[in-house]
Amino acid sequence: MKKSAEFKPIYIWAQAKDNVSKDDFFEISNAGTKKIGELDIIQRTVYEMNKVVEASYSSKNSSLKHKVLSYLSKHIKDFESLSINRKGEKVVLSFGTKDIDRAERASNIDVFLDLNNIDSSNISEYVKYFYEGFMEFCNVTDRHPFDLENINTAKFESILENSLLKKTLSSLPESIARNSTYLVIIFVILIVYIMIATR
Amino acid sequence: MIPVFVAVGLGVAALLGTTVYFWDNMFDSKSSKKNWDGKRIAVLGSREVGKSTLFDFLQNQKIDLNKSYEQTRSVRKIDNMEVNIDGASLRISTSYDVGGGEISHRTWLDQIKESDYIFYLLDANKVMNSDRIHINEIKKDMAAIQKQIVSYTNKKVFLIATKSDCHKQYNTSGFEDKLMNKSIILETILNLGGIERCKLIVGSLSSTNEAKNLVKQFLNTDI
Repeated sequence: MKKSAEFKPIYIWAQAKDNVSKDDFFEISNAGTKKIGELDIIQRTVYEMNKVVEASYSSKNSSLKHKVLSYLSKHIKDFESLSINRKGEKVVLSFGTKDIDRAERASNIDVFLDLNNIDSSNISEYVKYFYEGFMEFCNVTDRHPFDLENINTAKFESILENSLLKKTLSSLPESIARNSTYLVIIFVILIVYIMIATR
Repeated sequence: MIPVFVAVGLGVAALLGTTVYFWDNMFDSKSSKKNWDGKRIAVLGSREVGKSTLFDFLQNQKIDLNKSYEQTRSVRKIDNMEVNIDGASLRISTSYDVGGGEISHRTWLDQIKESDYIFYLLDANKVMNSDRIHINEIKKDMAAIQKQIVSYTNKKVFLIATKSDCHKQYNTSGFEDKLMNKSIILETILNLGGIERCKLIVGSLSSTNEAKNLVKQFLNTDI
């Protein structure tokens, strides 16, 4: 298994709920999870994220992989609250939340992943690396991604068993695998990884 | 006596009909089509000024007050947008709706480069009330984009003052002049290339009719 030191930083961004204060912009790295304050770094990262989202417009509705995602999303409640955009190995996940801004608009959370160096040997460790940082972000910033407990776990597991994800999932501790929130995050990262690997 | 009433009635009907005819024709003028068909637009501005509402109105030609929005964080792009308002039909080749705030400034520069017309939105009510926070946001936006805008001499800019209806003097005579005389408006017009390149549009997006009036203003602008 590769050391987590090789993982690229993950960036998490949620716009300020009052639309005036500084946004919540965090970096997950091996050193821990920290708030980023330097405008230049934030602007550069947001620019890259936007490039990923923009690139996804042209690839949507055309690829088989997207159809697979659409099929799976029909079988998982609340999955539509999560959108995935990908460009090469760069991925933007947008999580729907219960949070609203002062203009009563949904205030979602965007996550920027770089899946370079991620493979089947270290993906479960990467999922943990992401999950812990993401949860810390939510706690520190008081953000509330949609509760994914509503997922029909049995159906979800059967989808996983019938998909390419079975092998990797079996390597995870049972207690963790039963946590539906964790499962969805694993699922998303795995599906994106598979999309890239089979490209 | 009755023939006089009939004649007056017919006269009024003819006048109304002519007005409606010329209104639509004026809007659907060749110059308007020539100016807008096939053009690319970018919708920029601070947060909560109505960028996505304008963007959606251009796409659907209606304001849906029940629609639930998300904060715009990334770029929304629509190709081949058809704008149909009161019989006029224009095709805008590419439209960008970009998140607000200084965090997105780097992305704005790309959209400015890619577009023929730049819409910069601001909140007229806040400007009229000298809202310090909003004025600072506008200044930061200008500092970020001014050089780029000025360097592209072929790009036209529309300074669109939304939320005018929130101000008590809206629809009173001289409202637009009062807004125009605000130093931040003058400063912004200068930053966006001066009155030759930047046109101030004042209105609201609070209803479909208000939005139509606002959009007609810039579609009819001789640019």
